[in-house]
Amino acid sequence: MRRQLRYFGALLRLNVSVTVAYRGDFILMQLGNLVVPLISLLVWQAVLAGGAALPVDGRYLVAYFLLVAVVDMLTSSWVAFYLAESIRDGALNLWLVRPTSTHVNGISNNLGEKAIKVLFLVPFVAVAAVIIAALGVGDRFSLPTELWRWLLFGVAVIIAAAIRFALDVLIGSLAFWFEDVSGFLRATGVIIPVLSGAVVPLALLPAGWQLIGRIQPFRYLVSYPMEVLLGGGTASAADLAGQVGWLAVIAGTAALVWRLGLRSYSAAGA
Amino acid sequence: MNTRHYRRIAVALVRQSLVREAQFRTQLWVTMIIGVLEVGVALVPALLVFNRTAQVHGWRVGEVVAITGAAQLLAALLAAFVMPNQAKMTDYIRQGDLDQLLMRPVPLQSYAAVRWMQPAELWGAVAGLVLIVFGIAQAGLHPGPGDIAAALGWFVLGYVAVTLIMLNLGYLAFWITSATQVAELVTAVLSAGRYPLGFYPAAVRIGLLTIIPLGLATTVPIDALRGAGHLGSLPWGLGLVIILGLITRLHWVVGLRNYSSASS
Amino acid sequence: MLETAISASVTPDVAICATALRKIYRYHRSRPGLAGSLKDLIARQSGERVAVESLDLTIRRGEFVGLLGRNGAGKTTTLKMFSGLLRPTSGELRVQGREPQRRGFDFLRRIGIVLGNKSMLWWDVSTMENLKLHEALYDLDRRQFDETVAELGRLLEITDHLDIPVRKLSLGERMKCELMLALIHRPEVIFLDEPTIGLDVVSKAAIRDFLRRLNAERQTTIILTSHDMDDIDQLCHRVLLIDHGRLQFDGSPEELITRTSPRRTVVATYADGGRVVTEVDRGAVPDFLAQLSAGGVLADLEVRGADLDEVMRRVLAGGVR
Repeated sequence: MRRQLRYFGALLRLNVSVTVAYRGDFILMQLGNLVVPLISLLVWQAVLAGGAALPVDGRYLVAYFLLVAVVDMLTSSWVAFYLAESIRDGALNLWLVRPTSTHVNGISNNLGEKAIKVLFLVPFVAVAAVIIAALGVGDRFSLPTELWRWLLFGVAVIIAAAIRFALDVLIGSLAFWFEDVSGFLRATGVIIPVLSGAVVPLALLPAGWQLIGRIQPFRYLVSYPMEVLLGGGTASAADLAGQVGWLAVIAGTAALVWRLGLRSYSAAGA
Repeated sequence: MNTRHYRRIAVALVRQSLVREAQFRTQLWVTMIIGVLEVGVALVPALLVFNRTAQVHGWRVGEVVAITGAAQLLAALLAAFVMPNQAKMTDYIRQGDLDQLLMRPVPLQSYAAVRWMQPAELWGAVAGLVLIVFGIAQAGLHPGPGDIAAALGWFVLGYVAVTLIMLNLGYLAFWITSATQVAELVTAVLSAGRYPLGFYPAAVRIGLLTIIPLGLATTVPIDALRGAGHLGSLPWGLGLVIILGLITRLHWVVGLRNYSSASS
Repeated sequence: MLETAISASVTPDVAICATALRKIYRYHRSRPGLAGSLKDLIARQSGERVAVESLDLTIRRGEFVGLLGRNGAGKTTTLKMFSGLLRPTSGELRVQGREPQRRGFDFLRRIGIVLGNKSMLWWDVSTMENLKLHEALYDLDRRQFDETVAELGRLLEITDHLDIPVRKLSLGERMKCELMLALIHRPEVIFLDEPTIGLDVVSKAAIRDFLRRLNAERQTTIILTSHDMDDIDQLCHRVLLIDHGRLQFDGSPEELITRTSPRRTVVATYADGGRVVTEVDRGAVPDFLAQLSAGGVLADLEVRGADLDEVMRRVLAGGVR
């Protein structure tokens, strides 16, 4: 175990340094990630200005759309594509001959890149907040001050990131059985942002859809941490249990599917 | 090089791309289903908006759906014809593959711009057209032939303008390594075309009509179908496209010179 | 016979011991067209392909073995079974006394693998960074790690290249670094799959030189597959020819040549410009040469044995007799 930790630490350091080396790309990527929620913010502010009655106020909207980019990034995962590729082209074999798991690599890559990405993203969000205020769009907002809120937020983000990673491992593992998983990848890439609350706050769903929005698992990826931080939502203590529960289910399923896939892989080869 | 030669090349390119697509039969079904899914998801915010209100800044739900359809049509056409080539630019330039193309007996800039295509993406274009028709009908609009002609004209103008922007983004690979990311950034901005420009603050609106003129292909054509042909602005639109065309040509020439003078 | 096989597997002298090793692939035939795909969803047609029929072999410590055979003949399958990547369908297999398919730490740290067409190196960083990763991965002792780095760097002549990002290295240098990475944890057995593919003559010679010394000095057991017959010729004491899933030949390269191509090619050039090219049975060569000299003044004479390339061509076409 100590050996794996030592290896993980070394891998993590390397991932950070490579991300820093490619900082031009990553800086632009963060800008791109910020653009979409900003567009949504402008649209919804126009809706508010038009006199519509929304279940949330302008201040909440500004806070939500500015912060959702950060939360979305912190809870994101991209390993499914690379996992599927390594299964198909035999690169997975290079991991199977080493006394470690390819997931150690995946996790260190995930954490290492995020550590740097957040350093780039937060200043952009701050600047965007200033510009938004200067343009006169919406009301000024202020970040919550209660420490417990931030702590719970941190825990929720970490669990959400773990769920997302496990989900990616699950989807990537489909490559053990299916020739082409790009369809799955694209489908999830389209559905998850909507259901997780990254595109639109789930609070804005029509009344009839609120219940479904609350119980579906993707809520716990982005919306739940946001609800914890900004308050005024439907988050409760029971929800934390729900988030942990979904983590157990999804991680458990991913582990099982991966193990089954490896068995099939070592029977059939690449 | 005469027209017959161009036509033969065009036919060959199209045939090659269709054969490639046909090889992956299951891919076809999947792409279609995903295409429909993506359109549905693109509509979600708009539908949520109009669940709460009847109109925003003078735009009703049917009209906004039509604008989303126009944005979808634009995105699909770009994905089918422009993006594959723009993405390849980075490869050409960074890996020296441009040398291969330099040897072909065709005008290089045009060839590099149209070489690759992905016909499967055109399903999204069909979906976009369906949305436009549906939205216009839902809004109870009855555009006359003049309105439709104006809408078509503006869409073509807008499509050409955005294509030129995307080509230039591809040429950025002559100068910087992060050209791909810049293109992704601009693609994210394109999603702003799903809503009427009137929703955005003035500064943003101007930007979306000039620097990244997607408004010309989305809001303006649908506005034309509402009866506001904006014909007075036509000279500005044409002027913009001409300027962009000159910039694109210049960018390419200077970039190519830079590329050739550098050692591999 | 089974008893001797198992007792052989626990001797430290034996690197690899395979008994009645079998590998059968079960594959699914997909029917064409949309109707076919729907039918497949309900009931798939499957078939069986025997990749390795029944392999019995023992490889001792320090041997340099070449695996030969057509693509798809079973040699890659065999290599993958040896390295734990593939589970045998039946039979016994022990590598360094352990079952490869369990992929335990004790087994994995004793083997090394280099795949010619797939790099294990991380391209964005230097070789030294890659090596340090493996130092942590295999829990290597610091001092021994430094010693091994110095030794391998000297033997491969790449000490100066260790701090350069892998991306910037030439193919030959990269392959040397690949070897270094595979050997840094001092494995007892290494599997090399096409290690010299795409390399220039100088690099190939350097790598062959290195492998020869590695095998001689450290007694590392080396299993090599290569389509370059010079690799096999110059390095391997023993070749295993696998065709149609069976071990068709097990012996030295010279024996293989002798067995399959017992004739020699004689090229005689006369002073007046005439030329004679014939194949002659080995035993008949002295007499034939005498006849040639009687035919005129010889300017040049060449007596050539079949080389391994020709042998392989012949063998793959008609099998070993």
